[in-house]
Amino acid sequence: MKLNFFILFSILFATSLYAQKVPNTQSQSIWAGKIKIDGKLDDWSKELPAYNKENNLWYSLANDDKFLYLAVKKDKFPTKAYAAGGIKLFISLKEVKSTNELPAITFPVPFVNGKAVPKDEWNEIDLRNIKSVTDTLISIYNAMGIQAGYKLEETDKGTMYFYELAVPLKLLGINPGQMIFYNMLLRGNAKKQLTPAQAAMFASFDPNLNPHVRKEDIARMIDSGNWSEFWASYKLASKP
Amino acid sequence: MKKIICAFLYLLLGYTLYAQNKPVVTVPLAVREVSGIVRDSVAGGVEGAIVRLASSKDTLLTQTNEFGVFIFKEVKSAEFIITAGRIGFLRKSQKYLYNDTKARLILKPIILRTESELLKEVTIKGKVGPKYLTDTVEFWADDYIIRDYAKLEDLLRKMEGISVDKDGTVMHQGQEVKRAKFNGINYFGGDIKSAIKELPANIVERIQIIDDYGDQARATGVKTGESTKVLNVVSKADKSVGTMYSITAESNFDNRNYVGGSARHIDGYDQKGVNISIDQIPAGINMNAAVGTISGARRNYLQSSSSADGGKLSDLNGGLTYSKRINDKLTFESNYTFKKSKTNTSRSSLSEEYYNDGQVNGSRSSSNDNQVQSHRFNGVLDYSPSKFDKLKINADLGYNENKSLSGSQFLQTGAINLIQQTDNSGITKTPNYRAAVLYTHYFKKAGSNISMTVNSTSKKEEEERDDLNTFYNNTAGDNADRDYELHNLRTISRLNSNNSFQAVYSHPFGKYLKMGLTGSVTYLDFSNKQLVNSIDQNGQINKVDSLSRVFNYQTIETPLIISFNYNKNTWYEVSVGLKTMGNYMRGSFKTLKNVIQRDALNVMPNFTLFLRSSRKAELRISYNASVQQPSFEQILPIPDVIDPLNTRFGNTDLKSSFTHRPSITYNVYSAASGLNLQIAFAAGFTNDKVINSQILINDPKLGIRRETHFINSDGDYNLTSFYNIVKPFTNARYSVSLDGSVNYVNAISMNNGLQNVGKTFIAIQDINLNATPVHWLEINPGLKFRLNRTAFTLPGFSEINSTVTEFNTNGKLYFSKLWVFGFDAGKSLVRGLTASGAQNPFIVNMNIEKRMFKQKNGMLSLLLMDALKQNNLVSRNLTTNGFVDSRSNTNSRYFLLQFSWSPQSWSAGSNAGKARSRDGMFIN
Repeated sequence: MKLNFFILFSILFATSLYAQKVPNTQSQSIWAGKIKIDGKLDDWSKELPAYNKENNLWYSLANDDKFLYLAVKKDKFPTKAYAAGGIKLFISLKEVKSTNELPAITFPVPFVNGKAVPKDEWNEIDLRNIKSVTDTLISIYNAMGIQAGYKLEETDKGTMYFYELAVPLKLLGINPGQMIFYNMLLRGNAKKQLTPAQAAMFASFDPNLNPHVRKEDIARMIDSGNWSEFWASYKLASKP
Repeated sequence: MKKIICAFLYLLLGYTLYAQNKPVVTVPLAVREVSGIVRDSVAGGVEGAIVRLASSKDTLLTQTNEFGVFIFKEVKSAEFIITAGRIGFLRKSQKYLYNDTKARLILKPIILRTESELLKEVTIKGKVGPKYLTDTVEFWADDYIIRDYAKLEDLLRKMEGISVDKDGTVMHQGQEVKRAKFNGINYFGGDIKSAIKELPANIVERIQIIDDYGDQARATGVKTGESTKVLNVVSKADKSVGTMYSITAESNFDNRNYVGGSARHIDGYDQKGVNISIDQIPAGINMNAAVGTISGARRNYLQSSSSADGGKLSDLNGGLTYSKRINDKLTFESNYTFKKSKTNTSRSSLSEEYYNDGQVNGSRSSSNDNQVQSHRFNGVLDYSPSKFDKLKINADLGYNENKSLSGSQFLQTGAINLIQQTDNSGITKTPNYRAAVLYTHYFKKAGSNISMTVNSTSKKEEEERDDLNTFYNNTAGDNADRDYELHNLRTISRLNSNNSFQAVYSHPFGKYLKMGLTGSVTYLDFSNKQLVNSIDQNGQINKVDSLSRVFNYQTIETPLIISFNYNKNTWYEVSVGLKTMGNYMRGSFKTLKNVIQRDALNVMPNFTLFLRSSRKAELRISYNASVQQPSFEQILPIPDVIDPLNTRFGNTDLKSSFTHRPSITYNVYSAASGLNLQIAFAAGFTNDKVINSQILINDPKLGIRRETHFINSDGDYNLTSFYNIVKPFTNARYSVSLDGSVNYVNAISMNNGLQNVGKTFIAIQDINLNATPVHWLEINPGLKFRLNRTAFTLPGFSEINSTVTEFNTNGKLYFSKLWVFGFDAGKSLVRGLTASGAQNPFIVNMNIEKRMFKQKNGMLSLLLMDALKQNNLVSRNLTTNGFVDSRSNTNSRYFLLQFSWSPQSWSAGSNAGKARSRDGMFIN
């Protein structure tokens, strides 16, 4: 009984701590239970283990013996996640400095052939640099086993974007227990990354100068007009 | 600060632009991949479900994988039925109609229900379909499949109830669409023909056809008078700013030459454009179907009346447009066009006219030379000093000059036996202006508004004529004494001015009821001065008072209209109104003052009821009445004896004629079947119609001459009906349209004191098929049937009975994306039009074209028109008591070599991210 109380207490304590100081990148390995890729994060822990400030989103990686899973919950500037650039996940088997030539999976692809795809019809995945795959755009229903799901939810705090991805480990050549390195890139609406000078200009921009535009809107515009990314590593969990 | 915002927008745009500059390929594909997922009702994937794909071309079978996913590779048809099932689940079938240009078709999840769950109704993925909104019909461009490089015209042709003629006239539900707007703003002064020919189809998001009741109605919401149809092109948000250049040249290296060029830029109110063209064609060759892309893109065809049988036409055309939004409050539009043309035509006709005394057969041959030049300037200034005030100034300045020279010979036999030789020369100069000022004020508190218009129009015509008429009377036993000559010199000046003031006040009562009050005063002034001098056989010039006329008349009209509109935004809307119209006419001659004093006051009710359900069906029932005052000529107490063989006598006792016009229109679109139906009935019953009463008098000197009198008569009516049905099949790759109209006219006239009723029955029935059976072929067969039957109650008036049945097939063969063969072949079966020459012409036109240059915006085309040389039909014009037949130029076969280069670029410009109103206008 005491032990149970202790556990409960520690969980409560941990959760409150957690809320105050969430890591910027995920440090732990998570063995995935039964995860259904449908955009609903009810099969993940209640709070995702990391909040990335660069991309303004909660995320988690997990794995089982077949798949690497990703869950994203973006509550701040959610539109950036489904702007033209989508969420691009690069995966590397060794530590690298550049995303050049790295396998990458992007979802959603909201513009196809210059045409905007309606919000409820994002059903293509952009694949780059994956061996044995020649097409750059594939269906979310594919023979490779890559699965993607998303959900847009209107809440009191505004729109939230949820995203789930499952990638077969075999496809990327990942072995059990291996350490992988990943980069999550949100390109927003920007074709290119801002030059340092441009970035500095926007960083020093005083939103009070333009009283007709809401501060949040200016912040959102600056955010969606620039690339944001982070690097981190993940060690695959072993079956408990 | 604005600059920084601009910089943001630029950044926002960057990616989208990047993605969209790639050419959008819309060529139908031979095979495609179809993928999807089968789920259960708790959204889990169903493993091992059997999925069957069936289409007209293949049947495929597969099983879902562990995640419920199924994939069909190499599916031949974009239109298929998917059936999915597994033990324990209810089987589900669904039909899919997809675009055949997509390589990957990804289906929405197929949800299987366990046998215990109820099977919900099958949903079919289809089109949005036309939407019927008050005074607007809206079509979504995505509903229609269009080719690469297609123009707006090609898209419009596919829309339900819209048709585009050979010469670019757009019709909707049988009514002409007169102006074009682009994102809610006039497109280069409303130039619809340019809009449909130069705008690419792939920039269009929506098309709206609007019933427009004018600026004042738009400002106040009070609709008075007749509406005109306006086309509004709502572009995709990221294709709203365009720059278009075009150069076209064509020639047959003989008598047909054309060079034209234009440059245009459009960005909302900011429009700049310049265009110029030179054209030369032989006269009298029937207008033919525009075959091939270049012919289709030609904006203005030099048109020759098909009643001419020889000669040539040439013209020089040009225009400038400059429109700008100066600031949020002030915008202006300006347009200048000029035209210089030279025509030289010869024509001949055969006519038959029936009188109580017998039939008159006529044959006429003539030649005409015309030189016309015209200049027109139009300026519009829109000023909104505040949210509650709006001022619009519209001004037109025009000048026309027409020099003509003609000679004709008219031979009449039967009841009249006469040869008339006429030689005319003349010059007419017509300066004119129009100015309108519209001011609208909204009262913030009451929600009411007032709008005032001042309108002033003036047109002056100055004509100098020289007419030489020689009559040879060839009745049996005649002699030279009975031949005579009339040689007159005329100086005519006509001044026509119209000044009006109109005020409209609209006031809401509660949320749904609106009252409109319209009052106006129109002052029309017409003065005519005709001085005639005759030259006798000795060359002496004498003033002829009997033919000289100096008169003027004024009309004041004072309509007062009250109308109510009740619109609760539910399934019905009602408008009722009452109009009183005072009409006061005064006329004077040089010698006779106040010869005409005519006052009239009439009351006309009107009523409109709209019933609609869910924007897919609309029923409109309306009634309105109108009053037509007799014209000055019809009430003039002094006979008009200018043409000695055809004198006219006015009648001062004429009453105003009163017309009742009930009409019903019904439109419905069914999303499930894609069927669109439009039906319209209208009728007009006129009491006291002013009709012609003709009397033939045997004049000892002139033979039989004609007197025309005017009287009132009841019993004139007409009935019209129109319908259109469009049904697409298999993903709009096939679509069948049926159009028809039946019109009946009961026209009354008097002949030698006896009433003669002309009963005309015209029935038109068209059936057309649009088909893309295979990706390299587009074919549109059609059948048109026209029946025209006219019978008179008086004996001796022979019945006119004609039918024309036309079969036409046009289409395109795509050898590759760049090589295209176009054709248009039609056979007409003509019955009942008597005249020599091929009356069942088989007209075959074809071209072969190749796209060139890196952007594929250049094109070379070789065209052969009327390969079998049969397009020279005799056309028949009905007159009140007979008809006139005339035939067109017989040299109707020709080759043309054509070249065009038309680079265009479209982008979002500074509109990215801006909100839009329903008509596509960007809100700053």
